[in-house]
Amino acid sequence: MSHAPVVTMVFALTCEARPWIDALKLKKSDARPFDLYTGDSIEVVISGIGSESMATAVGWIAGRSPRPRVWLNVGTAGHATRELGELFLVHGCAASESGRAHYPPLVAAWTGSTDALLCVDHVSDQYPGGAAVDMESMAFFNAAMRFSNSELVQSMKVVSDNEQSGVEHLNSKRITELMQPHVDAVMRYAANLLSLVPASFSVTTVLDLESLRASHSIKQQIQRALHQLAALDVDAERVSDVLQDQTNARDMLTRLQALVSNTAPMLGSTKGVVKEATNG
Amino acid sequence: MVDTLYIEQAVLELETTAAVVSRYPKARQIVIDRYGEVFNSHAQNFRTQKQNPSLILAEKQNAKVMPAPAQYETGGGAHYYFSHMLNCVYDCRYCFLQGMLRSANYLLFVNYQSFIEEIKSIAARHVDDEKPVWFFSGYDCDSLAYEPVTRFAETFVPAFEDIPNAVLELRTKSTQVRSLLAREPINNVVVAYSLSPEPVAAELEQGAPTLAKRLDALKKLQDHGWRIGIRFDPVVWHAGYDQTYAQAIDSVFTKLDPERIDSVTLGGFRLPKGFFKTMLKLYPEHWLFNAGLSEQAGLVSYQPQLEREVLDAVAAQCRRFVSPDKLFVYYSDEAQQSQP
Repeated sequence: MSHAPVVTMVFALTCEARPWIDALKLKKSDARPFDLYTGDSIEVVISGIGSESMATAVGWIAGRSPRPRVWLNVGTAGHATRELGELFLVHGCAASESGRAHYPPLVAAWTGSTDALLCVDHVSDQYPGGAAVDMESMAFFNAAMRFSNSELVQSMKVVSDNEQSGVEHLNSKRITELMQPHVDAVMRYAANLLSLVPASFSVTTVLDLESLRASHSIKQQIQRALHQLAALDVDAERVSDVLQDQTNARDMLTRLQALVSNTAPMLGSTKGVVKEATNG
Repeated sequence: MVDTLYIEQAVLELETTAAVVSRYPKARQIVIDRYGEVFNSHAQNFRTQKQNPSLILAEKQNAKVMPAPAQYETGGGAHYYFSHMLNCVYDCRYCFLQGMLRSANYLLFVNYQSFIEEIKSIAARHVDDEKPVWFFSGYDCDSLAYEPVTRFAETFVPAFEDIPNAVLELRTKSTQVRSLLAREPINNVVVAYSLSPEPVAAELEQGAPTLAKRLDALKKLQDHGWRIGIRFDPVVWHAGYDQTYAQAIDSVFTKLDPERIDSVTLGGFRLPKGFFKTMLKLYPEHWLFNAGLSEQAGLVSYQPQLEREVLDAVAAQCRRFVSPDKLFVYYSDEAQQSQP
């Protein structure tokens, strides 16, 4: 199973996602209960309308694999004064005008517009001053931030209606048309988000901890010592040598901890260079 | 370059706010109610945010000046600290802020006058003390590194002219000393530099000036008549550390006049256990968090024998140049014993 990070895009409606599905040639999965489209390092989930659907879809896709994810909710929103078809990144989101807001940390590069978003429970033709309106964003943030750091959980909206236009003109075809011009800009932003995912740190397996006869505490301490030796760039071969002929877990731990204590880090080194215990 | 400014509603009209905002004409501005909504929200990752921190302008409410831990005394009387800013433009791997704060955004408290009033009020309570009362700045940020934007020293240093029984210590690694060199020095301000040998600084103090540049700034300040302090804190254990520190100490005390240095302090790499655990999660691969450490009484520091060996060796080097009454060495095990 791949552990490479993936961009997970969550849309409420298929007509909103259609330009990405087509442009990226995503394949529809057999998975249920949500429609899922996948490609290289990208997955598109269709949640359906409303908070409950959104939260469930986020939990469902997160549970399918433990891959590190960046999350991007893309959809339509109403706005009092913005032009139809305008794209913006959400810089603040609240469930009511007086409620506590969530401010997604804006770490990934984005030079386009940003705006606040008010998340409401039902379709509305009321446009609050200074914010866009949608129905899923708050649930999206709350759910996705259980699985990834908040810097990696973002929402982008395309204006589908405003005070002048109202919502009467909207249908599936029109929504797809409004989303279509933004495929590249959204994907560039997604790539910037992806670049923020920290590289994972892994410890070379030199010991089968599962099969070792030892208490949980001893196994944890052995794990910690192996982690320290990896961080100090001690060769796996060297660690194996130290453990050679050892069958008792406590003796293994003692030897590993002695090796940790006796290894002074060497400045300016690259991988694999350490110096043994001269203390100066 | 900061590309996002969060501004509390309460400070929108302050002069300091306008001055800071004018430095970032292209940044997006987001008005917020309270800084905690941004700074303290959950699920943030300090390491990720450090790649592109935003700047938050806010009002510091409640207490602005706090008593400083006893171990930070440098021969003065009562001692306090205050933080006009949380977080720093440098990225030092050992910095405790990575373990203490959820956010790497720069949080600047722009109600400077409230800080100054509280400092004056506390100093007034100590007016009959035998020794002056010390106010430390630079625990939770670098005192000078953001000076072109914050004008912190430019504002606070003159205020201490009116508080003769108080001393202000500015803690820094920065070469932003223009405002200090542009005025007459005052005797109750000490500029204390955190120094590390060049190879240590290169590896652990990303974005900070080199040792040579810090020494140039120190030399200018000393020649200009400012009181200066030297801080090797943390001293970092590594292979060949005695030679690395000996070279650095030679260069420091041959460049500067040791007789006119206020104090020299040394301390090993140490962190409260909770901070250490957070930092290890952020940087699991870094050798700093995996070499020579042990935990005692909630503090993670070098193993006691190792810490003594390292600090004693560095202290011996310092004693070649400075008198014992100016040298302060903080041993983690003694600090723990002295805790109430």
